[in-house]
Amino acid sequence: MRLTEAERGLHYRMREVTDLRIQFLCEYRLQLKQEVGDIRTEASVVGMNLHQHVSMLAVKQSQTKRTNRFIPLLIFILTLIFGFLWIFR
Amino acid sequence: MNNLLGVILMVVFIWGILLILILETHTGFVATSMKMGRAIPSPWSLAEFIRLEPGKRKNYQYYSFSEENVRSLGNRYVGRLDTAILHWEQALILDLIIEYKFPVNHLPSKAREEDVFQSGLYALALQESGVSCSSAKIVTIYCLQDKAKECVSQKTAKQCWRCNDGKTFTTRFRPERVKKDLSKLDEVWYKGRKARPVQKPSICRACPYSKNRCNYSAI
Repeated sequence: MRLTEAERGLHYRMREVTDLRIQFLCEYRLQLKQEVGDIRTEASVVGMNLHQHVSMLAVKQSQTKRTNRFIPLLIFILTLIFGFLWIFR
Repeated sequence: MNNLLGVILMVVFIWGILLILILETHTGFVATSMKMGRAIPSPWSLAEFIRLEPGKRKNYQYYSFSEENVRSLGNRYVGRLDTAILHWEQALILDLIIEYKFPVNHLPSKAREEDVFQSGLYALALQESGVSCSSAKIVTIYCLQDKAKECVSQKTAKQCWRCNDGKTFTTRFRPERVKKDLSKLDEVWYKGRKARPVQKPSICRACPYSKNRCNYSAI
């Protein structure tokens, strides 16, 4: 995602990853962007908003989830029992 | 009957071993989706996490970092990644770089090269910061805009970020390939080479400059 001037801070002279992506796609498109300015389509604006929402949801949902630590232990014990029965029955 | 029981026990035993290999971080066989599911949001920023003393991070715990800024001083670029998943195992290990894309009309049949390149740049910047990327993977999740909007507006516990109706592609991070692609682009930035137009209808159709401003447009 694009960084603001303030976020770039001391690194304002550095290139943007999003610009390098555009250049990778079509070098001339980046040249036009630098000459004419950024043209934002409706799809790109919607895409940017979705990025923010989805990232926020991802953080919220991963904060609320709880991993059951006993499941691997249970699988380990059951595997040992079945292995023992298979070999020594 | 005895033979049948023996076969069942053997199958369950083998499946159990495989499950343990997949579930346990230490074994190195953990599946990509498992890493995404087991990662917890990091209490530190990515920059803090990289600088932390080794004892402060939990061994083999996957940490996720969202909307983090990264920079490469060597290659002179900055950017903000969507999500990265890292863990500590005697060294800092980058597991996944996850990038979301929201196409308008249709989902691609494979990960687009430019999207993999973009994620590769984030991974390359992390590698420069001392993170091991030898087993890093790039995950690109494509989700149609309408589907994503629907999911976000419902605000339910649905995992919109997984985008069940979308497509997910996983590729290996290949630093040499990213560096090679970047060095071609550097020729325009630093060596005065003229920018080349691509002239492919599929690319020109999505370009906002193609209709009025581009003399090389293929549409």
